[in-house]
Amino acid sequence: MKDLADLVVLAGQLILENGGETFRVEETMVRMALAGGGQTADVFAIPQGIFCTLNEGEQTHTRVVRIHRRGVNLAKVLEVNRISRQLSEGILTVETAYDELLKVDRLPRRYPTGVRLFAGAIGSATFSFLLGAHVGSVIVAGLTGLLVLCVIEFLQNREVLNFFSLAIAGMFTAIANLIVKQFWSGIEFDLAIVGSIMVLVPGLAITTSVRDALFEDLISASIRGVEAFGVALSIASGVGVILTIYLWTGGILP
Amino acid sequence: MLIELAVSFIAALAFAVVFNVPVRYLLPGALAGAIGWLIFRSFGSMNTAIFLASVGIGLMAEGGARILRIPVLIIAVPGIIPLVPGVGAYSTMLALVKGNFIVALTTGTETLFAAGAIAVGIAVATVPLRLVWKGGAGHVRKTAHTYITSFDSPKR
Repeated sequence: MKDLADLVVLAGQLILENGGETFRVEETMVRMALAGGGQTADVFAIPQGIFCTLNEGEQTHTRVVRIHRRGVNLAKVLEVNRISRQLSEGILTVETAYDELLKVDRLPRRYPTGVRLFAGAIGSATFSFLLGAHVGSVIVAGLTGLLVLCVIEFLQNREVLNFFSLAIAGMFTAIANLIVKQFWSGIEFDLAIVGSIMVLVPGLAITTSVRDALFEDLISASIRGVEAFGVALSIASGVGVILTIYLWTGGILP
Repeated sequence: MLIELAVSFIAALAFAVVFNVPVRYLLPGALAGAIGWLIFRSFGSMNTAIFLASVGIGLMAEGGARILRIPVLIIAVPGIIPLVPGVGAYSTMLALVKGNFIVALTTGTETLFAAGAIAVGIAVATVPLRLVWKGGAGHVRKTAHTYITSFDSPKR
């Protein structure tokens, strides 16, 4: 038998692990706790963990959860949002809500890997088009974007540290584009590289950081801001290493 | 211009798929991306344009999130992607690699301000809708210690 605290903590954990903002975690948990029959609820969440205490009748439950892996799956955030709303409206009870949350937890990635990779390629290609690249460079950007996503996917499955896998993906981008440049000098090298690393850009971290700062969760905001900066830095250092070597060996960059 | 709009729409759509946005909510994000790009282009391509475009995207995200009852992120994240200052970041890196620190400082500052413009734009967009359209969020937060047993349904 799972009690209210388990339900609330699981909901918060799911939101945090899949890219939700901190205030959403705290708000959802308080709402669910109160809707599920608790009298008071106190939640403190940062991107690395959740602390919560809630009173239910005579009992006090306290839980601490450490969040280790964080990814991006907005579909799961959406589902938890729906479950919380249905719990408040009385459609779900604590037990059924817990079962629903477990279902969400087991939910596979919404899109098959192939579709995601393809979307990444399209995204890279369209982005470099928006920057003003010609058709040839756009195609190159799309293909290297696909390569970068494959590399990232492979490294993350092997649980390589995130910053390192980003740097390695950046290196692959630079190498692939340099190889293309050897055979076809007309390529807009910079635009192709920018397009293909765009799939790695921490768009979610930036947005979440801003929204956290806005709701005065300053700890979370600075953590996510530093994270976004670190991601950008590691991509840049990956690309930079390869370009430095290229310059040492006598190559010329625009 | 029309082609660019279509391409920015596809770009935002593709990034929404990468971020695992469910199929039925793909469209708002992609639309926000396209309209954001339209604003960006019609105000020139400076940081001011980035700021105005991200205000527009933020407003669309806040409004759409309230109407569709979904998290704001689902619309905002794909929307801002076309605005991200990728070229600036690349030129900064290139200047650093070449040892040209003055250029690196100039382009780096410019890039930082572009990123700042996105951030401030999204932040600014939250204010007006909160003034007129009071959600339950702030209310719940302040009164977590009082005994609440039921809510009107959450707005987000």
